[in-house]
Amino acid sequence: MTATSPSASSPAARRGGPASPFVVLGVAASKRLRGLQAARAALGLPPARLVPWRDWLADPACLDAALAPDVRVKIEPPGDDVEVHARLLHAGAHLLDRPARAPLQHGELCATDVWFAGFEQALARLAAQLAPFDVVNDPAEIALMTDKWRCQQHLAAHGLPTPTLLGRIGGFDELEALLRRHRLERVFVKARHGSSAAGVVAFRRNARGDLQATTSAHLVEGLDTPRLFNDKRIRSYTAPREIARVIDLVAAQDAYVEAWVPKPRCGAGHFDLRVLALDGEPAHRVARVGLRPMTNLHLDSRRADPAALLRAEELALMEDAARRAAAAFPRSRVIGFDLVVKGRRAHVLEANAFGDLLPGLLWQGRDAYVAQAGVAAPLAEPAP
Amino acid sequence: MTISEQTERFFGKTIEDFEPGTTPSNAPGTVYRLSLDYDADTSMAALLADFLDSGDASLLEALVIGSWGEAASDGPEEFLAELATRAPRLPAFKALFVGDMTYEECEISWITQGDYGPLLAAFPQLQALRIRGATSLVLPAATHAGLRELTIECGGLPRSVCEALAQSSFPALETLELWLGADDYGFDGDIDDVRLAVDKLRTPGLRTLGLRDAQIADEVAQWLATQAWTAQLHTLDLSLGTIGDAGAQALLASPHLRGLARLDLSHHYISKPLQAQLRAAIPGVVLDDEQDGDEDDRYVAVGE
Repeated sequence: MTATSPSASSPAARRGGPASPFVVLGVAASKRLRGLQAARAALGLPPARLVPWRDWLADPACLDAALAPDVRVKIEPPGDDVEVHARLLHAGAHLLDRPARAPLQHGELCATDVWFAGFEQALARLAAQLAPFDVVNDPAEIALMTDKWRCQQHLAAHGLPTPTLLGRIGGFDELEALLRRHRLERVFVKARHGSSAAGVVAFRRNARGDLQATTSAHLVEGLDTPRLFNDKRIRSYTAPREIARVIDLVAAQDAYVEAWVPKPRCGAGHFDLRVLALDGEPAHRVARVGLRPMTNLHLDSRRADPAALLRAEELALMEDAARRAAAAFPRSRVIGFDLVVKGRRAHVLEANAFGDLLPGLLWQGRDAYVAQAGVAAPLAEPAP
Repeated sequence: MTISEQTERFFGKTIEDFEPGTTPSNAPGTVYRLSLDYDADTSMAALLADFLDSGDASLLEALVIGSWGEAASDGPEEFLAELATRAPRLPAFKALFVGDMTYEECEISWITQGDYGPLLAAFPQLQALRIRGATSLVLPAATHAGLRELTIECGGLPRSVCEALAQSSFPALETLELWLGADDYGFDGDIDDVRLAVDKLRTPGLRTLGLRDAQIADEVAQWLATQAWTAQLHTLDLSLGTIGDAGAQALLASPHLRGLARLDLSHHYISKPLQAQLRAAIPGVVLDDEQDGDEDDRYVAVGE
């Protein structure tokens, strides 16, 4: 496991090559782990060694046992593991001095800020533990990308065009005040720590006084308290009372408001782009075409080839934006960016430190996991 | 997804977005769509003037107007007036689609429409008019000798529009498509309003009738099934609505509908056995997008 390659002094080797032992902090039986192991098998590499999140949270030293000097480590998201989620929530509640709460129900969208506090603390511990090692995405940068509000400010500070950030809100009243102040009729409200479309609400109103909130968060009333649940079906709320409740529940877990950037049209819908930057270079890319304002691929959107939808100069704009955005995270090698390219601008909507779950999407003949298993080092050396 | 699925057509032409600053081609197979983002700092009237000035307007046959900025608060009157003013310089102009907007651009029931009387008067040669959105839509009782296709797409057709249609005369009409919608979104009439409008507008040359997105789809089907004149139709389109077994049984029992080349019932609540009977009886039937729902839990496809 500790075999020294002849080019040990080159930067690529120092960062670990494809043949280096590979450790993944992840979740057993997850799609991500399956994709990664399948890629390694296809490349003739030994399987990655899994350190489950739940084991690491119980005993961080279990990771040390897996760390060899030339190891490469990838941090995958803790995902749907209920126990891990509960532990992170518990830790977060302690940090934020909030009362520990009952475990969430399946799919419940609640306390994402508390979860993030726990996750951020875990990442800080990982940063210390993994400091001497080659880590695919730096823990501090993972934390930065997962805090959408900070991430957007970070991107803007690096000169990337982002949707105008309008401010954080504590509830529906503050949203209304903010709209009045900015004279806006439509905005996106986003849970600051929500992943993908979770806690994202497309809000608009018109001069006749109609309101509409489109979201994958479903309001369930009639329980002890009103709650939100993530759903794969996007729905629209038009009753002001329900909208206020949805916004209040999203804002209660820390939310911000940003401008609604118009997306380019495709047929009866619109599309944005997911571009995966590998080692700073735009690689896998897919257009996500949807009839609703959220185009995340698990929400009924369709995939399309950006090359079929964008002109050459727009594709160049897309690649340039992904490259510049990736440069804002110099210690992360695998980043998914959501972009809107329209006219002469490419807006960066989000950066996703775990944006490589793109099953079946090929770039230069390789899927995202195969491609990243090969990055940063030549493929010439066979596995020992 | 292939390119062809993205291709949109109007008046037999492929829709292409007009880019300000470019010169529109006069390719006969192309129709331009003019649209503005909601935060655009220009007006549709200005964009329209720009478009008409940058090509050979005398050859222009058709036009699609997409989003005109804040279509939820401002109607189309200003740019419709601009178009009407230029009518003498648009001798070939035959087809207009106003309101080609997506859900993201403007919720269909929020699209503010306007008065189409002056436009119809200004373009006696107009053959096709398609309007999306019925809020504030005014179609005064009109006579237009040339109109062959009239389409109104909306989440709820106001009774006032039905009443005006029932007093209009379009003797050349070949295609009539009305989206009836749901009462939550502006459909405040009933089957009698629809019946009066269709009875007045149907011509011996009518080949395509669409009564789509109807919450009262069963009633519509039951009425149409009794109408002998439906035998002249090539296409009957009752899609996007809430048709169920009651409507399907009426269609099956009708002696007039057997010869339809196309009977589109997509987005339906029809049971499997009746679907099979429909397929056997009417080969042109289309039963895509089957819905699931009890009688009192049915929704039209395009409402909110």
